[in-house]
Amino acid sequence: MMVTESASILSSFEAFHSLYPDGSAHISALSKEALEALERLPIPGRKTEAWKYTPLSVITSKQWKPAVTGARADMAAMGLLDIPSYKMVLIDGHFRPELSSQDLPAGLLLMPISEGKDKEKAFFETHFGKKADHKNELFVALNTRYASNGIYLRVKKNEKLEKPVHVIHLYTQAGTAVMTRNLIIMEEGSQAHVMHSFSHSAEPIHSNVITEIDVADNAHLRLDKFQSGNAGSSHYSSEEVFQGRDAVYKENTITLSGAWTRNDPHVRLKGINSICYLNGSYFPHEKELVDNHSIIDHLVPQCESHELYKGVVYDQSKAVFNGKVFVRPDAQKTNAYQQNANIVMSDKASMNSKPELEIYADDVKCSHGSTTGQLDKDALFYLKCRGLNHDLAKQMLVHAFVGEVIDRLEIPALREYVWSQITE
Amino acid sequence: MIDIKNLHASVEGNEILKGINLKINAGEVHAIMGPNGSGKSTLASVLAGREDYEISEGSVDFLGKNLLEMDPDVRAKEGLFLAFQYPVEIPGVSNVNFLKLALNEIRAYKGQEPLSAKEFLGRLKEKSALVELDGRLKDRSVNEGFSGGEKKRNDIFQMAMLSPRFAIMDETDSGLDIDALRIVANGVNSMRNKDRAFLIITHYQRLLDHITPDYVHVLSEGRIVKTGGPELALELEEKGYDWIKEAAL
Repeated sequence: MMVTESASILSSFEAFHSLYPDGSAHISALSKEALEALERLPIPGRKTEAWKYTPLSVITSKQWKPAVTGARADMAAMGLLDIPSYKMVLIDGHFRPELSSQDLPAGLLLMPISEGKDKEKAFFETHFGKKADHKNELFVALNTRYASNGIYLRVKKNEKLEKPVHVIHLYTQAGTAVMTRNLIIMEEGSQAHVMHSFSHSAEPIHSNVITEIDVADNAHLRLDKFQSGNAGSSHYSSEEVFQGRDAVYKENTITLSGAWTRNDPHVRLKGINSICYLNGSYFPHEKELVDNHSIIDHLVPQCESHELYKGVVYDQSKAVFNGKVFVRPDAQKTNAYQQNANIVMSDKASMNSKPELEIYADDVKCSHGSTTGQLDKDALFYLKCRGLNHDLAKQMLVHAFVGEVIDRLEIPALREYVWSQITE
Repeated sequence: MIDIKNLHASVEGNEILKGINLKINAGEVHAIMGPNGSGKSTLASVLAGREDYEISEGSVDFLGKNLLEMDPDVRAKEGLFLAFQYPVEIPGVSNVNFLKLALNEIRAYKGQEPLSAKEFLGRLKEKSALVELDGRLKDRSVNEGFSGGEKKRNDIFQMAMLSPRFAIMDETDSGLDIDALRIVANGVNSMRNKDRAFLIITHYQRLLDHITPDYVHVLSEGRIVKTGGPELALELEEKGYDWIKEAAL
């Protein structure tokens, strides 16, 4: 069959309206540019390197509807609710104030982005649409044109949040696509921990979440993502991060389930001595697909980046890792480390791993490694000989393998949550 | 305790065990000696349940049950223990957590309650002191970063914790220095009693200076070709294995 790459993705989103049609000039201009991009950009196929192993047909083969507001949702099904946090709840992309925290500290401005665009106009327009590339990236264009809402978060200068911000994304309406757009502004010297948890409870559902993040000089941000889906969910998630001098950004992405999951973190180290950590762990089963595609861009000297992604690939599932690190000509004294390791649990599971380093500076330390193998048979036998049955022994080795990533979640309750989710 | 009859086993079409007959009673310590390639380690692996081997003939009765039908973990739960020739390193699996889980799995199989944290720690302290590993186990992964001798001592420690009915020592002495050998032997000797049996597989007579066996068997070409008392080990040490091979022909 001939597959053309020229068809527009718009045909799958005919029922959608633009973001905030009565919005400011800033938003209108972005929305118009995004629409032009959607008309112009081809749907990437197998010949496009960044999408080689991750077909978009799961999204482009359907006609999606926008989700209605006010859906009832079973919050009890969500994990992590016991962790003390400032909660923001989005159900099918619509903000639910009655489920969200009202009592916020003075240093934290946390609200739906539909409010943030007006109440925080100056900050909003400085950053919104300036980090994510809506003119050239298909998912960013879709998101920019059709986002229903999202969260706006600003932490004021030198403020440290006592509790994490927990953004709960529940998707409940079959046949809908939900675009969510978040903006996180960490002012100079501020410190915060943000958790995103995603749960898809109907099928088919498509979710597209883009978070633009500014981590100013000496600010620290941790962002944890917990992704759960079902046999008919497709989830696209991207962070577009700019870091200032001495800024630290740590991201952990835990993909627990979901038919189709793509993570596109994109970090620009723009300030001297800034550090970023990207960690991920994934456990696809059955016919699920998980694709982690990271880009880290070292633009200035003396920055560090550390990447560690580990996956356990079961059944007939597929996983993809592509980690691209650019070290630009000015970025002397860069330290960039990248590691991807996988265990393939069945003959029918597959893993495609591609580390990519592009180095244009000469005084740098960079390393990358990629390993994919099977569970260690000798270790399995050893554990069984001590009285653990096959499943327990297997589970113990899987936990040991991914523990290195899970242990990077700093709150014990988060680690316990992940362990409980991946224990069969 | 264990009754092995006419056991034949092969790997990838090569027959390695060619009819082993061996009966071990409770309270006895048997040693199996033999040259490299005689099938010693294959016998240990087959008894523990490693999957790489095909059993073409024979039977193994263990405490009245058919051992060969059991999964390796069931063999452990029924009271069989294998001390490995090469204990594996398992990064990320905590020594202590693993052993606690194993111990409680075995207890659950026997219908016993899990040990309380206090009981477990008490036993841990006592048994790790036995092999002079106290303080080396906590917060460590199984065998990770251990020297060869420490790995073997860890296996003996696990044996002491799990308290099996029948323990197979697969060349536990190979590569050990004199001190480690003494520690391992003390561990085994302290566990000898009338209800427990041992099968000690070794290439050298050295270990048998410290653990006096009741019987010594010589394995050659996949068969037990000679059986005697402890004096047979000394004879082998003196004369080597060649005379056995010739005698067997």
